[in-house]
This record gives sequence, C-alpha cells and structure tokens, in this order.
Amino acid sequence: VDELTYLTIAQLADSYSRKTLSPVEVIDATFERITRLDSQLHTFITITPDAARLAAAASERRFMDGVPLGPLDGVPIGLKDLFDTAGVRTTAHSALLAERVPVRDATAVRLLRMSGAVLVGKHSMYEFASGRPETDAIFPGARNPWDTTRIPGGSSSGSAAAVASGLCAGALGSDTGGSIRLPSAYCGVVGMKPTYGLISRNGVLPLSWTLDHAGPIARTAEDARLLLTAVAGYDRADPASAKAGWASETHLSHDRKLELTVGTARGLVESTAEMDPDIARAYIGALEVFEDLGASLVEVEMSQILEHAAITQLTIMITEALSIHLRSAREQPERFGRQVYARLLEAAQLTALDYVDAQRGRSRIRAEMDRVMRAVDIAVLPTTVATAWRFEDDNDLIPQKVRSYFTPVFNLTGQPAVTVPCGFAANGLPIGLQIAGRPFEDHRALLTASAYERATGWSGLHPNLEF
Amino acid sequence: LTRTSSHTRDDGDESRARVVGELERAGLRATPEEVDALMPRYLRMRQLLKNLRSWLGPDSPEPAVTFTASTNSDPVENA
Repeated sequence: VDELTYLTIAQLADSYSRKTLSPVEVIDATFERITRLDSQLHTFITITPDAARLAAAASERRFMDGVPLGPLDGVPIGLKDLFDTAGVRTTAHSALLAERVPVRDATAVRLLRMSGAVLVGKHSMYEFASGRPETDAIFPGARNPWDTTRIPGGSSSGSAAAVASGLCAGALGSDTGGSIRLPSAYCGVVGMKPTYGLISRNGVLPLSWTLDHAGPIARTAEDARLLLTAVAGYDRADPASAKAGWASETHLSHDRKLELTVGTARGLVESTAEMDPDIARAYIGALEVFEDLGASLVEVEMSQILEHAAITQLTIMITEALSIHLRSAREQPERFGRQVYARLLEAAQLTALDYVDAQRGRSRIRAEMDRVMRAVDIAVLPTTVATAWRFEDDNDLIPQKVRSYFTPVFNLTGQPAVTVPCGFAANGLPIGLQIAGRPFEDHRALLTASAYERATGWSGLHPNLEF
Repeated sequence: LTRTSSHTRDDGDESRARVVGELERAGLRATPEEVDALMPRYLRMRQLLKNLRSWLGPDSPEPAVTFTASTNSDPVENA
C-alpha cells in the first residue's frame, strides 16, 4: 500500500489511464498512511477524507468512461493552509483565523478541482507564512520526515514534509523569500517558485503583496510542471497576475543533452564562511554533472546582489505584512504567535524612507540580475546554506545567512526558481540545488531540473518512516 | 547658524527609547522581554539598511513600483 503513495503524479496518471490502478485505491491508501503517520509528522491541520473519497469515485468514473480531465485527475494533492477552500477552514496556522471557513475557493484551488485533482487536506505552515516554527502555535508544527527532531523549513513546512512522506503526491505552497524552496530542500523534494504573477494569488492569504508567489511542491520536476500547468494563467482577480504565458504544453525532454549556458557561483559558495561543507561539495558535484550533460559553465558574480537582497526583501516583506496585520496586531496581539508578532514589532521600526529605499534596492537588484541573466540561460546556486537544524537549536543566534541566503533574490526579481534534491549530507539530511531562469522561462528551469534529476537519481528517494 | 542634533549620538538607551517610541506610534504593545529581543534585530536592520544605501548611491534607479505592470508587458521583452 505504501508503494502506491510514493508513485509520482506522472506514474499515477499513466496507471489510471491503463486502468491498472484506481483513484479510489490511491486515495484510500493515502488516508490510511495519513492516519498512521501524521500524528508524528503533523503535516496537516485539516484533512478532508469524505470529500476526497467522493472526488476519487467521480474520477474513477471518468476513467472508466474514457473521459479523464487530464494528468491530475484522481491525484491526491494537499494545500498550504492559506489557500481558501470553500467550506473547509483556512487558518494560515493562526489562532486568529482558527475558525475561518471561506465561502469561495482560491483561483488556484478552483483550477485544481477543474483538473480532477483530489484535495486531501490543508497543510500546517509557519503562522501567516512568516517567521519561524512557533513553539506556542494553536496547531502542532510539521516535523522533518528525515529526522523528526529537526525543522522541515518553512513556511510551506507541512506541504513539503507531506510530499516527502508520501502523504500526498503534490502540493501547492507559497513563497515570499524562499518558503517553497527552503522546506522542499530540507525535506528532499522538488519545489518551485514560478515567475511572479504566473499563478493567481486570488484567495491566497497574503504576507507581502509584491513578493508573494504561489507554486508547486512535488517529487519530480515533471510533476511540478504538471501542477504548474494546471494552475498557471491570467486571473483578473489578482492585480499582479501576468498576461504573459510560458511553454507549459511541452513535456520535459528525455534527451540527456543540455545545451545551455549555466551561471555558477562556485567562488561565492567556497568563500561563504557559514556554508556547510557537505552542501558546498554537493554543489560543486552538481556543476560537474551539468558539464557532463553538455552545458557550458560561466562563473557569475552575485555576492553583492545576495548581500543586499536579504535586507531589501526583509524590509519590503515585513512592512507589507504589518500593513496587512496592523489592526489585529493592535487589537489582539496575544493571539499572534511569538515569532510572527516579533516580526511585526520589527516592521514598526521601519520608515517610509526605508520602504522606498528598499524598492530602489529592488530595482538595482533586478537590473544587476538582468545583466547576469543576459550572459547565461540558467543560474545554479545551492538552495540553502545549511541542512535542517534541530528545533531546540532554533533561536536568534542562527545567522540570517543560514536561514535564507540564496532564495530571497528571486522573489525580488520575480524570476522562476526551482529546487531539486542533489544529495545528502553526512548527517543523512537532504541537500537542495536551486535552478533559476529568466522571467517567464519557467519551462527552461524545469527542463534543466529534470535533466539533472535523470542524470543523478536524487529525486524520488524517500525517508524511512517507522514510528 | 550651527545646527546640532541629538541624533548624531546613539547609545543603547537612546536606541531603546526610539524603538519603544515607534511601537507606541504604531499602536503596538510589547513586553520588556519583547523589546529586549527586538533590540539586536533593530540595530542589525539599521546597519544593513545603511549598507544598502551606500551600495545604492545617488544614481540608483527609481523604486520598483512598476514591478507588477512590467510582468504584463510583452513576454518577449520580459524574457
């Protein structure tokens, strides 16, 4: 039964089409596994077994009638608990919204339902997609399935941990400074922040309007592409929605040759003092794989960009977050978790001048990255500086560079960036490799990720979960 | 006329008073422990913003307020 829950979306679609497997069997196996494991992993806040079984039965009928809705039909999908779901509570993992039940689906959720995906539940996350794992949250926080004493990363923590644990085949998360890519890397799965505006955020509880991206988490790059294809598209209900498209219909090629120019940051990785040496080694090893695949490597200078991206992203993010949460923070501060409230107090120290200068910083960073991306087709960086640390070690002494260093820049530029597994550290924890493309070249980023996956076999490995 | 300003001096107490003042101005409540925890973050943030401003210099571009609109321009141009 557990084997069923680790099939990829592409494998499920194939098995359903050949009628060797039924969506009902897979959904039953999924809930059996959730029931058995999630009391330890805490990846879900809410599960929806009754609705999921009805949806799976409807999907099965479509396959029997020869009219499936597409590759997501009958596939178990989870949602970070900030995507509105009609009739199902959507809490953002906050006591403030613990009883909130939306009347409408988010646009991305509606598109998933139209594609036949079976929604299995709502994932735990860092409160309001901000901060750090809360110790005083209203719902338990997700654990890293590779070592449950360690953080899964955030803020799409439950989503990444659930995909890694075979509790759903894919998920939708959100990413404001790395919130899809970081937990995906820490949990050993594929996570993508698409180009800004590609997926509608209508009905997605915001953290920072100009930095928030919705995106897929899956076990392979091809599965991420299938999810992205289902939910991407212009939506007039999202003021930031992009009218530009992407090459969604092209399957990821099985050609092993990769004829592109890859921008590398070997010097930066080797000179960053906080860098885990195992991650640096995995990164250098990944560059050799790209060379073997036929790519030309070009070293690019990104140290200044990354250095200033952190404060630029932080200033914009927390100022916008305070604007969103100010009323609740004034009236009900005790209902916020300690970490997220600390962020709001920090934001109150920022001035209008700080915010405007951060937006100027963003313009400069975008211009610098445009220059980098004119010289290369793809930029490849580590996703994280460290592997997942223990919950008990999560305190203010962890340098910001260790929390996020390579990811916020792409929220500022809006470029697509995908993380794929690229090995394990000596402590047995997964390492991620980040592949970023030019805006609206999401397909190229996924294609590169897929070529890397096929060459290495790191994607699709899963933790041994015996509790 | 010679201008002098108390803002040229910044010891720990002055920073803390400013932090507490900003919280009051925003209408946010904080315990003394929360202010204690905020202080190193606040000082680090101010330093990083100072560094950002020196990197930007006088000729840096306009704020990225047109970011959203730019994604709705021609996709080829965006690429």
